[in-house]
Amino acid sequence: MTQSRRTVLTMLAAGVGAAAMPRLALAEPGVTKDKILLGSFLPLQSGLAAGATQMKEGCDAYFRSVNEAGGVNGRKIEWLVENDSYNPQQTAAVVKKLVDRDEVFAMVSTLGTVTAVAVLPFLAQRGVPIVNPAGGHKLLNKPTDKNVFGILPMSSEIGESMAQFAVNTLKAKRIAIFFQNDQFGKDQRDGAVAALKTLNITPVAESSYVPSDVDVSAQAVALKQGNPDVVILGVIPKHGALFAKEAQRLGWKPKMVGHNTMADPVVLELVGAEALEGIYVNLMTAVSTMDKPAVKQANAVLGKYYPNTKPGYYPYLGMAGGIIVVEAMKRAGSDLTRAKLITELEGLGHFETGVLPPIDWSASYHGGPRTFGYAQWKNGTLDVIQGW
Amino acid sequence: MPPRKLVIFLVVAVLAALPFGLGNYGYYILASVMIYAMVGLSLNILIGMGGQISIGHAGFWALGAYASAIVVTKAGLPFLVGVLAGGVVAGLFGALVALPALRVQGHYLAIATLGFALFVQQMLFEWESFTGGRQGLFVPRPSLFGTEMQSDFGYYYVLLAIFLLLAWIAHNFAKSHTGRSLMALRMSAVAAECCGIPRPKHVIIAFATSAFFTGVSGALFAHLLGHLSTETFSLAASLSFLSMAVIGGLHSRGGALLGGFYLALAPEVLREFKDAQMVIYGVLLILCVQFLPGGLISIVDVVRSRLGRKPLGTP
Repeated sequence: MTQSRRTVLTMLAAGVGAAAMPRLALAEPGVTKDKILLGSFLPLQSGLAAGATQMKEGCDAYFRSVNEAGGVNGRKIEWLVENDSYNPQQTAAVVKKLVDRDEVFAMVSTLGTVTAVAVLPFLAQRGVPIVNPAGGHKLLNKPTDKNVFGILPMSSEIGESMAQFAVNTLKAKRIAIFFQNDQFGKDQRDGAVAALKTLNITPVAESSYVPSDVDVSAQAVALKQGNPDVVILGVIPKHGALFAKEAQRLGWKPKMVGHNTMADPVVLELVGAEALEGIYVNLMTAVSTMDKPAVKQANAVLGKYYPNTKPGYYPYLGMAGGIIVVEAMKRAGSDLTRAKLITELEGLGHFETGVLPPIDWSASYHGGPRTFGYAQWKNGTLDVIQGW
Repeated sequence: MPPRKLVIFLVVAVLAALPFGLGNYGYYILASVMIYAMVGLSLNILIGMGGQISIGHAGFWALGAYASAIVVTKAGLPFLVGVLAGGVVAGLFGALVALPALRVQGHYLAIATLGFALFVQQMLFEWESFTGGRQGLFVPRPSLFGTEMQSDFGYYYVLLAIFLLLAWIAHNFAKSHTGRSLMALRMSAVAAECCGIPRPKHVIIAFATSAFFTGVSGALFAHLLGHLSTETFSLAASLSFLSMAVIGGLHSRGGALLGGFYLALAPEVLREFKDAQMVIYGVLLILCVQFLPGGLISIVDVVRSRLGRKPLGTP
């Protein structure tokens, strides 16, 4: 054993020496004469698999259309996507693989909160830019790291926006809040309450549910007793649909304004057009029926490469990351480096992807949009009433 | 040098030489091997020697990880103190979990340990002020003698050293009075107790020691990963530990090491199969249990028996 211990000590000394050696200056990782290698980690086998797959298809369709049109300054984009099963342990492994073995140039359009947060220190240490880490965390939506660029708002900002919309546009005096009792819903509720406080309004009633609930009738009755003009919904599609159905059953017709998830076509399938009639929806991505050239273009690109995927929240979200990174790489010119990409991303300023509200990045702000759109359900279709 | 010591020396030499030329990603995978192998050692003691089943080891792993992270980040204590704290906290909970194990066996014990792991995961998730809850907790890189180890290359050797230490402890534990008593209890609790071996004491020792090992592994894992969140410590983690221990071999330290290699390398090898990887993983598991019930380490025994030698795993 003495000998083996000595071997270990020798190796340990060698290890410390090697770790202390400065990194040799090499060509920019992931960029060759005719190719740019980008990466992503998505929970393709998990509860979020459906969304992750759509996000992947949205971004991939866009990259393929760019490649077909000649690529970025003569280089074709290759996008390596790894599954992390929404497990931070696997994310760490696949990100180290992408960065250290495959040598990707940058990360684009990832999905998952804790999984992305877990690898931020590593990406910062390696200086790898990450554009559009979709999730709900301050470090992703309001990043302070130089290499991180978020394109989603904080959940609390959506809550604030819904409260302001209720008061300013819908002229509500009495407001109730129905929310999911976890971080996703509570952040929206807290944002709404804070915004109402600045307008000297206190909610007349609040009630919540947990995602495993299959019945929200008690909550609907409780909120009805508060006699609100407007109900704010910080919900996921299923429970938003259940609530709308329950209100209809009670013959109760308050105005409702809900999170972007209430724009999901699945809500319409669940409860039908009648229960949804008149409900307002916050928009942080485009809806497929929007009459805008960028949205039509996005639908055409997705339809060409993934004809079975319906345009919507996740495909647009994935595609938005692709649109932004391609634009910044084009502007960086043929001598592409990570430092140049970061400079160009910061230099995008007020930039419209068309499928998400505009971003406003600068050297001091890498966060998501601060403006939202609103739409209203009318006869089973979404009517955009306020653009961004 | 006796043949057994020569084998150990060669294995250690190979382990020490492995990282050279592998690059950063390879260092990370090898560091994971060591961390998993430590859990393998812990199941070696609990299941291999004590005959007690656990599908709740992710709970001990989580306790070790969070305890170390909190000791290092909130109390500002050194890395190695954090690792020790991780082991001790998990060990104490191990002794607690042993209490129901005194009353229930087999499937019922499996359910009890599963319940424990779910409880730990939920507790860590809800106790936001302490553990970061849903947001998680950042953990600094490991540091020794005031120097932070930025590369996993150096950290691998720290992990290798700790693994060897734990393997040496497990080896001596197997040969000790307590270890022998545990094995006697596993073979026949009634016969052992008739010989004056108290079952409660030994079951508690087995659980506490096993949980201590797992806690140390969890603590070291936290510093490797750099960020903790409860998603990592799910039922899937407990089950992968159990399958790793069975595939490596439950009754020897070498089996624990092979299990560690299996758990860390299988996803790397299978990744190329894309969507089919889980199917192939499942088939491999079935084949292994069918044809190598003693685990991968029994390949060595098969070769040795061909040569007319005693199997390695026998104490």
